[in-house]
Amino acid sequence: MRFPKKAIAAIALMALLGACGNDGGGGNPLVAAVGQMAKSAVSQERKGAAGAARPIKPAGREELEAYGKPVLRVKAQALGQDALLTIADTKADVVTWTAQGQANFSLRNGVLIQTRGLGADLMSADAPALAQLKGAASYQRIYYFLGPDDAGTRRTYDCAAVVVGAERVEILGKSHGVTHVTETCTRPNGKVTNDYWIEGNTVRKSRQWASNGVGYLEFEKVID
Amino acid sequence: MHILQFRLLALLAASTALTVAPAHAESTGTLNINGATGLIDMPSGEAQKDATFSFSTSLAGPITRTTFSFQFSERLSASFRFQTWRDWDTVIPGDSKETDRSIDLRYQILKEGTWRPALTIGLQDMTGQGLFSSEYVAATKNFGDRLKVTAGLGWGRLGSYGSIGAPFGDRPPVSPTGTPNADQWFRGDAAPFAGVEYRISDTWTFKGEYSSDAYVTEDEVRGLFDRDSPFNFGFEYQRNPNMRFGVYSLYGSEIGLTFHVILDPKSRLTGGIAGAAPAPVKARPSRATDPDAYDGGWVTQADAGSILRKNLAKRLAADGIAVENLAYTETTVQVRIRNSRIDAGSQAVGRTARALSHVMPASVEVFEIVPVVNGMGASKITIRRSDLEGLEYTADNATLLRERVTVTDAGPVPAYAIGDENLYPRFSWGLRPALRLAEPAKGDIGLRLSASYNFAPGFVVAGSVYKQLVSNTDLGSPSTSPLPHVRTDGSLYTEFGDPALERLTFAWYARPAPNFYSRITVGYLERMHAGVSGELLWKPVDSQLALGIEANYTRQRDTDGGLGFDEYDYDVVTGHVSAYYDFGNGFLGQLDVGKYLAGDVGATISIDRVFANGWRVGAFATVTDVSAEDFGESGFDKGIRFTIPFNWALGTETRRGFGMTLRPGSGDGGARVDVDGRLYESIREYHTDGLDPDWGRVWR
Repeated sequence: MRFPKKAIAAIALMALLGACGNDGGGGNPLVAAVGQMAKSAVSQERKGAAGAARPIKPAGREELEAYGKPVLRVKAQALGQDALLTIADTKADVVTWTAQGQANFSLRNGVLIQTRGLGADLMSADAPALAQLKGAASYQRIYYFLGPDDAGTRRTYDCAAVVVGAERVEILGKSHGVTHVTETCTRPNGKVTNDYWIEGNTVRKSRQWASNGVGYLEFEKVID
Repeated sequence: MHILQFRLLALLAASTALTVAPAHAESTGTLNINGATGLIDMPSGEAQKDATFSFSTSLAGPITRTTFSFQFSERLSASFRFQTWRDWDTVIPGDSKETDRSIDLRYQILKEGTWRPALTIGLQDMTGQGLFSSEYVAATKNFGDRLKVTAGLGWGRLGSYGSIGAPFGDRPPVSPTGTPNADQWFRGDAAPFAGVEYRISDTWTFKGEYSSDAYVTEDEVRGLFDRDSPFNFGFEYQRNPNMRFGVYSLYGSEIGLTFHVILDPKSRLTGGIAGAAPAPVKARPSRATDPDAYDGGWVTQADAGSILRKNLAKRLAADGIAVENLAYTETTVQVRIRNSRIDAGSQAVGRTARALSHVMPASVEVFEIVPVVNGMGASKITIRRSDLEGLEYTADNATLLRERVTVTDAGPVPAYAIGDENLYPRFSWGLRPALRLAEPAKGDIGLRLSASYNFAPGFVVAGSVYKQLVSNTDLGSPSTSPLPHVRTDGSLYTEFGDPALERLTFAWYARPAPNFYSRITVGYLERMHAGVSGELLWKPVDSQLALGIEANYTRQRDTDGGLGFDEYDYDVVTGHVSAYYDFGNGFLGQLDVGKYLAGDVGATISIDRVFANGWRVGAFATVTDVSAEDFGESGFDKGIRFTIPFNWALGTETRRGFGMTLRPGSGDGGARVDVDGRLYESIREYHTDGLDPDWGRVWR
C-alpha cells in the first residue's frame, strides 16, 4: 500500500503549520526531520552538533584591546567553528572560557581539561601541569567522556612531553617569543599529539585534542 | 513511499551528512533480504553488533518483505517481518495478495575464533501459520578481511531443495497456529546451503550463494515465479554505517532489491548530546576571608524566600525546568523541580544544583533536589555544595560526585515550602501532527489537539482529540472473535471515530507513604474503554524490584469516538498484580498476573532493553485461559515494541519519542486497558536505576 500525493501534501501542510501550543514539548519532530533533511541536502559538510560559536568577523587587535577583557580564540576544524571566547569563570588555576554561554572550554593554566556544548564533549581530564610540559616529563593522562549510550568512559594514555625549541608565533598581528612543547600520548590502539607554544607561564597558542567527535582544538591567547 | 520509511529516511538524511566513521569499523554480519544476518536469501553464522536495530525492505520478484530486527544481546537477536505475496491468485482463484507476519529468533552459539567459525542456530517464522517457517544452523568463517564463507543446514523451507533426508523424523503440519511450532522445529527434510561474501572495496560487496529453499509455494503451488536455479548472486553498497543497498539475481529468473536502515541505539545520529553549555558552578568566598558571607541571618528576612524562588526559577527556565517550590533553613535548601525538556534526569539535577550555587546564600551547604512527576516527588537527590564546588574541575568528577551524593525517598513537601501562586492552576495545550501506524505501511496521519489542566500538584484533567488527515486504513473484514470484541473492532474505531475523543480523564497522583506511589484515573481512559482505574506501586528509590497492583472497572465505548456507551453492552472489572525487576545493563523485566479485558485470566511477561538515551526495544507475551482457537490465528497475544527518542535522532532537546508496537496478529485475549500515566515508568528515571547509567550527564 502506498501513500498518495495527498500524503505528501499533508506533510507539507503540517510542515507549514508546525506545532502550536504552550505545553513546551519541543518542536514538531516531523517538521524538524524535514528541516534537518533539507539542511543536510544543502550542506553535506555540516558536522557535529556544535551549533555553538558563530564564526567571527575578523576583529582587529586594537578593537579587542579596547574591549578591555581577556580574549581566547578557538578554532575547531571538525566542527567548522572559529570563535572568540571570553572568561565565564575563574577558580584558582582553572579558567572557563565561553562562546556566549553556548559552548564552554575549561583550561588549567592553558591545558584543556573540559568542554561543554560541543556535542561530543571532554567531560573531565587528568591532564599534565604546565610545569610537566615545560620540564619534558613523562606521565599518564586520562580523558573522560560520555561514551556509547551516555555511559562514562575513559581513555588512558602514556605521555611524554618534549621541548622542541624556541620559536616565534604571530597572533593577530603580534609576534611572541615562545617555547614549543610537543606532548605525545600513546595507548595500545591510539595516539594523540598535543602542541603548546608557551610564553613564560602563559600558553600563548596550543593545539589540543578534545574528543573523537570534536578532534583537535586550536587555541590562541589573543588578549591577556 | 511508505510513511515509516519516510521518517527513517528523514532521520538518516541527517546522519548521512553527520557521520564520518568508515563503513567497516569491525567485522560484523551483513543483512539478507529477510532482514536477518546472512547472505542473500540464506542466513549466516554471524551476528550484528550488540544492540543494532535495523529496518529492511526487500523486493524479490512477487514477494515484498519488511523486517525489523534487533540484536537483543551479543548473541541473541529477533526479527519481526511483514510479507506480501503479490499475484497470489495467478493459479488458484482468491485474494490477489497474501500477507503474513512472522517472528524469528536466532542465537549465536559460538563466536568466531582463530580456527573455529561463528555458529548460529535460528528459527524463522517460529510461531506463524508456517508459510515462511524454517530452522537452520549456519557457520561462517572469515578468511583475511575481505572473504567470508558460510555453510549451513536448513529445515522447513530451507530444507526443501537438495535435501539429504530427514535426520530427526517427519515434519508434522502446523497446529494450532500462533503458538511456537515446537513440534516442527528441525523435523522433516534437511538440506545444505552455502555462500560467499567478498568485500571488493570499502563500499562494495559481492555475495553469491547456493540456496536450499525450493520456493515450493511460490513456484509450484501458486505459480508466482519460476525457480530456475539454486544460485543467487549480487552486489551490496554501503557508504555510511546507517544505510545499505543490495541488488541481486535471484533463482535464475528474478531481480531482488534490498534497502537496510541500520541504527545503533547507543550512539546518537547527531554525534553527541545537544544543548547549550551549563553555567559554571558559582564558588563561595572562603570562610576564612569572608566569614560574614556565611552569616545565616538572611533567613529571618521576610521576603528572602520569594526572591530566592524567583531568581532560581529565572535561571532554570532556560533549561525548561520549573520550580514547584522551595524550602530552606540556614544550611539546607530543598527545591522541587519539574523537568519538561532535558532527556536525562541526572542532567536536570546537575543544572538545578548549578543554579542553586548561584542563587543560595553562602550559609546553605546542603542542596536537596526533588524531581516531581505528575505532582509526585520521585526521589530526593542530596548534594553537598562544597562537593559541587570542589569537584567541578576534578578528573572523573562524575564518579567522585556520585560517591558523595545520596538518593533517597522524596518525602513529603516541607511544611514551610514556598510555592508560586502563579504555578497552579496551570493550563497547557498543544496541537501537533501525529502518525498512527497499524503496521509499517498502514495507518494514518492526523492532527492531535491535547490539553491538560493542573489545578494542584497531582490533580490533573487531561484530554485529547484526534482528526485524521490522510489514511490508508480500511474496515477490513469484520471481527469473528468469539470473545467480547474488546480489541478486534479497532478498525471500526479508526473508521467511524473521526474525529474522535481519544481520552478525557481526571487523574489524581499521590504519595500515600514512603516508597509508595498511587494513581486514580477516571473518565475516557482510551479510545475503546472508559471507566475508573486505580494503581498502587511500591518502589524504594534504590531497589531493583518494584511491586504494583492495579484495578479497573471499564465499559466499552461507542466506535464513533463520542461519549456514548450504546453500541456495546459490555463492562468488566480487570486487575493485575505486577512485579518489575531491573536486571541491570538496561534489561527490565515485568510480570503481570490478573484478569484481562475480555474477562480472561492469565499473565503477561515482558522484557525490554532500555538505553539511557531513551531508546527502548522489548518483547512481550500474554498467555490467558483463552484457547488458541478462540484467540485467532496468532494464537496468543505477543509482539515487540520500540521507542526511538527524537533527541537521539535529531538532537533537539525534547523528551518526546516515536514508538510502535508490532503484533503478528490481534485478538481479544490478553488485552489490558491502555491508561495514561502508569506509575513505574513515570518515576523510574529519577530512581538510582534510572539516574546511574548516565549519571555523567550531571556535569553536562
